[in-house]
Amino acid sequence: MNEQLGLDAAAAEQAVVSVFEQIVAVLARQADAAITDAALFQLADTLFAAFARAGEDGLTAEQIRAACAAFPDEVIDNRLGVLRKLGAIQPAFDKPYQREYRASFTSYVSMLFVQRMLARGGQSELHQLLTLEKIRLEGGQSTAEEAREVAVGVTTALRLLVAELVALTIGGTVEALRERAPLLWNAKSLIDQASAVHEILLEFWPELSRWCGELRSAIAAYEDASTNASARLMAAAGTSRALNLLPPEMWKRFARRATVDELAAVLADQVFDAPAPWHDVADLAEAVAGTPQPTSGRSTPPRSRVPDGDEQPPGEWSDAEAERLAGVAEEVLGDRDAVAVEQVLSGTDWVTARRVLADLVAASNNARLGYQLTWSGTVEVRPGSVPSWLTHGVFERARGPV
Amino acid sequence: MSSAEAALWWARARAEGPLRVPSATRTPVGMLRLVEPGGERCWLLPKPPDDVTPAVLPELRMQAIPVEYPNETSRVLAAALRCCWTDSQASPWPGQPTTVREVLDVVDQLVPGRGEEVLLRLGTGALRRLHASRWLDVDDEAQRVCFGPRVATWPDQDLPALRELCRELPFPRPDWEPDR
Repeated sequence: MNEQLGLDAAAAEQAVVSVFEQIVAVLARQADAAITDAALFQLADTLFAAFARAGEDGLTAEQIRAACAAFPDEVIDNRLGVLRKLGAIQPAFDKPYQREYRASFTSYVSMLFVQRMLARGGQSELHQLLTLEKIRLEGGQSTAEEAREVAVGVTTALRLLVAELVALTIGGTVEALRERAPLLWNAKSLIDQASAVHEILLEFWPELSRWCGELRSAIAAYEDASTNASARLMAAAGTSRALNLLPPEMWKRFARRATVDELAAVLADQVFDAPAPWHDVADLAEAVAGTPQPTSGRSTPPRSRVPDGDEQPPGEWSDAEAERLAGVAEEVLGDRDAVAVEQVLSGTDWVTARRVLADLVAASNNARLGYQLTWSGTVEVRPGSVPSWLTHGVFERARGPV
Repeated sequence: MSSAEAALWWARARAEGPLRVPSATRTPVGMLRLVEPGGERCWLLPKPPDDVTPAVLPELRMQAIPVEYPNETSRVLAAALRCCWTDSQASPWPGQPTTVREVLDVVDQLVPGRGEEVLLRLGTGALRRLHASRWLDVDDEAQRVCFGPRVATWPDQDLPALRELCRELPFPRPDWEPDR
């Protein structure tokens, strides 16, 4: 648990530091000149808060140490050295043996700025920049040179944003893209603002048409890139969750606590209750009727074109029907070798006689049984008796099994 | 009950599916009230007019909620119908409780020749899905299966077809045991 917490915290800290580094990169003299530990940022925060409380008198080095007591001494010394050298804290009065220091307002504001960049990846700063530029340009006080700088600056910022989005959309993992999703928020309003600035530039300074053309293409590229990136995020979320990038618990909580109007707005275009599938009777019937037939999974092996020959020895057959016929035949014959059909059939009704006759014929026709039925050519007509038409025949044992 | 309250009940049911509420709750307009056999609680379900069901969605060219393994799920629901709907002249709800074993037995007779492991795996999955969408109420502990409230939303004109379907289905065999 603790280890997990430590890893998570380390990952979060790493992300924070990486944004710091990106922000100060344009100002840094050496690659390792930026802080590598988020705690140092907190120290600066604590320090500025202490200066703010101290007011116009400033703080002495001892007071600074006391205010930052949560941090090790050598870290504080190091930070004070750097901050003093860069002018973030300055001697309160310009005279020798000065013990009090005061903090620079600019440094603290830049810290706030850094924190904002951290949260939104700089996109909202771009928004504000655009708004400010628009207001400034609308005032008509700017020179053509300033207007051109605005056009170039906005174009460059948008192009870099596009490059990052395209790289993430095409080459990056979905997780990386999701982390940078704040870049996609309010893309529409960013485009609108940039377009507004573009229109003002073109209206007041027609000679800047070349720069405006580049700005136009950068805006269009940003529009495409943000659409594509959003599409990839949506696709990664899956069809079943396309409408909810939020976890289901959140939806459920919303459903329980929302007001009538809020719920109605969410569900305005839902015809039936969302969560459950419908099983139509026709579907049930179809599923039952269309049950897959069991297959053995084995197909019959191909038969040889050569006749089987004596592949199946006569002794091996076992056939319930043949056994039954043999039983019937033995019962009819008793211990005799032959019996007249007329004798077998006499004294029974036709239904029974017919069945017996059928069995005898079958036994005779079965090549594996050694019986045969031999008919003579004459037919006797016997009105009133059973059977009324009789062909004389003999049912007898064959000389041996065929 | 005011129409605003009724609208709220409808919205809740649309978001959460059938609602299980104490029996003392008044029935909002246009909703179906199903009292559970115990009588303490009842289900509230939206009942669209004219017996319209989500089956019309395809006609409207709208996407219905997809079912995973639709055929298997439908077969298990049909088998549960066979086991729970004992009085076929009455409406299916609430039906008689049955067991998981009996339902799976009917499925096994419908699709013979599948191994027990396959039958159990697919059958259990289908029962869970049907339980989640409130078509069935499956108690895993007691291995008991009852109808869920959604069964009562089959409109009356579908009942003859359901009865016919039930007649075609085999009964559970009393001595059948899935050998695990």
